Amino acid sequence: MASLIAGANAALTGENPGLDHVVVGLGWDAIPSHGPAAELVPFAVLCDAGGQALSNDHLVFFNQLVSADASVTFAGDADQEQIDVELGAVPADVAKIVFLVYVDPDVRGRGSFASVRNSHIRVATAENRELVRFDMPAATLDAVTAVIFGELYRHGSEWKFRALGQGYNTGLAGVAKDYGITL
Amino acid sequence: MVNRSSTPRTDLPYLRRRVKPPLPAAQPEATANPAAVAPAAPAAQQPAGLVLGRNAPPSAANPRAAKLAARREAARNEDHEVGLLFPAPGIADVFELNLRERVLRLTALESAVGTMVVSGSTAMAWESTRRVVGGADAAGHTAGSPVKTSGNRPLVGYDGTAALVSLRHVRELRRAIFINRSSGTMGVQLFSGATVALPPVAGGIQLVLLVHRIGNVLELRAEPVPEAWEDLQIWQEFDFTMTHQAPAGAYGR
Repeated sequence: MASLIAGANAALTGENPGLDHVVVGLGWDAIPSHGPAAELVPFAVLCDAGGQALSNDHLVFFNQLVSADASVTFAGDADQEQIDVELGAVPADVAKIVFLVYVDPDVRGRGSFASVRNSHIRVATAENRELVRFDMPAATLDAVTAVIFGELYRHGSEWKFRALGQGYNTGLAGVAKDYGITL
Repeated sequence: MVNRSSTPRTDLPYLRRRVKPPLPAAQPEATANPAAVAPAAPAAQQPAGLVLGRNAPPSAANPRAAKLAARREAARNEDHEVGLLFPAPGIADVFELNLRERVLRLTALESAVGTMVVSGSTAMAWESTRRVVGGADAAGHTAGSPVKTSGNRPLVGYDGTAALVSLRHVRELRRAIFINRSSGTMGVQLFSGATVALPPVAGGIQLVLLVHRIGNVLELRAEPVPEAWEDLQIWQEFDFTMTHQAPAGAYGR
């Protein structure tokens, strides 16, 4: 198991020959609240070589459980947020898959990552053997409303993972603008 | 000449494979060429006869991988009914829901982000996927049972004069109706800023906004009912029966 820092990458298929299936897990601890709480939503975007979402059918989250090509599946439940990627089934026009978490923009208090601690992203095999992990550095995230945790990307015929930890103050709207998602 | 030699020909690969293992003559050649022996060794451990599923990935035997595969299969079938729906316009295509344009359908993303704000409604009723039914009006009166979400917000409820639906928990919603007894229009607004309006009472007809979930999309419908109908009659017409939380003191009676 390798632990990454922001900006670092790791070869997945290169160092694990025969790997054709990974599970990307996203986790965090939130400070409990009796009042309205910030609700975090894991989200995956299948992008083309230009870094734009192929279409709105190429998004995977709790209300769109499978990508248009069925290669990426939201396999989370109440206890864990995980996204299942069949690397061999990902179409050739998908250059990378971006994994992010946004705070749901509820009109009764939008919330932010201020109450979030110990967030991480991990890539594991289907048998739960952890391949790489990125623990988000502790930082002031009071104004942050969406975070790109990392991305799976093609490098020649191989798949690699890059840790990012890039925050947005503009939430899902900012992410949608950068990745060409129609809200 | 008929080939009846007692020594099998091992220079031809397809003939060499037919040599049976106990033959002592084939043994020295096999050890001389380890590369040729290597693939044969695991084959000897394979059971004879047909074995189904031999090509299955080794992960299939792992319980966690099997659970994941089952969850993936379930996810692929979860919203299959959406593919059976007739085409309907989106919210960007419709300015007003009325007796001519009665229905629109949101996308999966529109149905799931932020809050659906219904302004101008005077009363509403809701039903969750667990058949919990409740109602409220803009004056603060409530009936039935509220549905609390994990974010400590009601799934559907009034905030001031605006009726709100928490779309983060849209998969807990089965349907909701919004009633407008005022002289103003009723409006629906999404996170994207997209809006649609419903006209007020006219010609003895009031339009009730029905929001119901089909798979992962919300459909919005304008349903006409007589202006004279009370809220209770409208609940009855839409088959809403309020559920009640029994007091703890009633337990065991």
